[in-house]
Amino acid sequence: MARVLLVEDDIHLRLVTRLVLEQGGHVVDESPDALQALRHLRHERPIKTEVIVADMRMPEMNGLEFVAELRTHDRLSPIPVILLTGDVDARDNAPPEVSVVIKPFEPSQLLEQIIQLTAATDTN
Amino acid sequence: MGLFDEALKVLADAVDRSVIVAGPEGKVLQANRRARTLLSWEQPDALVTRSLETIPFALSTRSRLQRDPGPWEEETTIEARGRLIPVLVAKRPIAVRGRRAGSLVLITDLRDVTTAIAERDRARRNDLAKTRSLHMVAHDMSGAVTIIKGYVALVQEGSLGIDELERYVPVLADQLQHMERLLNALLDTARLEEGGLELRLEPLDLADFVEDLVRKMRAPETGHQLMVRREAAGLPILADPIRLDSIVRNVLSNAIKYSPEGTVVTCTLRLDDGATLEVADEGGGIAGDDQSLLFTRFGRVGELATNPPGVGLGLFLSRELARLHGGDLTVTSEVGKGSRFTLRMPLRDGGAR
Repeated sequence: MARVLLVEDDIHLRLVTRLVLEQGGHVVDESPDALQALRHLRHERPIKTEVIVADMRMPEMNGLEFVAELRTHDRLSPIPVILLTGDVDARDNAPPEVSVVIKPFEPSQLLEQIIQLTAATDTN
Repeated sequence: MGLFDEALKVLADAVDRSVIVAGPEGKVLQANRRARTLLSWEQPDALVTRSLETIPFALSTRSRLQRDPGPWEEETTIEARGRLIPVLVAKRPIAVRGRRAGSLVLITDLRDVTTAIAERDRARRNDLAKTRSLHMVAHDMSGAVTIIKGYVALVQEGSLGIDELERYVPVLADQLQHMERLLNALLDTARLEEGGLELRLEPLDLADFVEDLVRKMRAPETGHQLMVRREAAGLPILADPIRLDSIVRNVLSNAIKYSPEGTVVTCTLRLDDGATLEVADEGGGIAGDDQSLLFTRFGRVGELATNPPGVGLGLFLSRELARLHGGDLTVTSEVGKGSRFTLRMPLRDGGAR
């Protein structure tokens, strides 16, 4: 069970992903774009977000730019990130520490990925 | 002469370079059609008196042809019909039962090669653009499939009851329709390429049609305001409703996609040279150089190409569809001042109400 920040510009994708995450027992905060997500994270003190799930392709700031921006903040850079993308080649473009889930994905795939990431940070 | 020899002659005539067979002393025995044309040896008995050294290559090549049995090849020139042509010459010795019996000389016209390379490069660029566009279509589809898959999975694992699912049926229907439109755009693009696209024309009114569509499209989540200004009472046209829907929807969603949330997109319907729909947005506008890219098959403009999702096919297809109707789709735009797309369709029976 984790607190997940979902960043997705498509309202329908946001809704169904939220449902999937909640069915997996997670608590979900959501943001329609990366800039609002950054604002949300900056105001969160202490940081409660344990995992960020973000779409790769978003207007204004895309998933990769969002990750790069997170990395510039000491407080935010340790939060694990999962990028959702329809581009099969995206894994090659993403930084190695970022998880990539290819759309269309099985809901269980996303949930497993979150369990893995939270387990990894718990043991650290 | 046996079947095999005849077959070889047919084959020699079919290749795209000149082929000459010479005897041990350099006497020309056979030349394929291409060689005869290149060297103006069209007379049937022309070969009899020829030898390799009379072929008007550059001098150094001529002497090499005489003394060097080969195999070798070199770039040189040949004089044909009063012009110097760049060619690649290759000489291969031919042995019969272990004894030198003659040689084969191959001449490649390098002008053909240059054209072929340019053609291949063009095809390769087009292929790349196609691949990119397929990626974009796949991306657009993947969102819809993810949504449908998500709901189905929730129902399958029992975390969403069938009765609860009913609430999401309109979403699912929307996504399926979106996928259907993408599929149709792909099919229409393929049909255009093959020249097999047929319109099903019906009498309809452009103004009513656009008003209807705008009513259906008002998407509250983007916060855009869609305004319709009717400057003509009626705009009777002949159009394929499915294709017209695709054109107008494309132009409208393009305006919505590339202008900030909460701004106004204005659809003006008027009568001038024909039935005209003008869609004006308050977006960033498009630089002059980029405007010409807009309507290329797979073109999208500048950094937009990496940001908002969308199919590059959209505007290309819309313009082609408009032109198939005898109309056109054009754009005027200025950076910082928004864009204005104009769809002009011929009036039905040449008159308006």
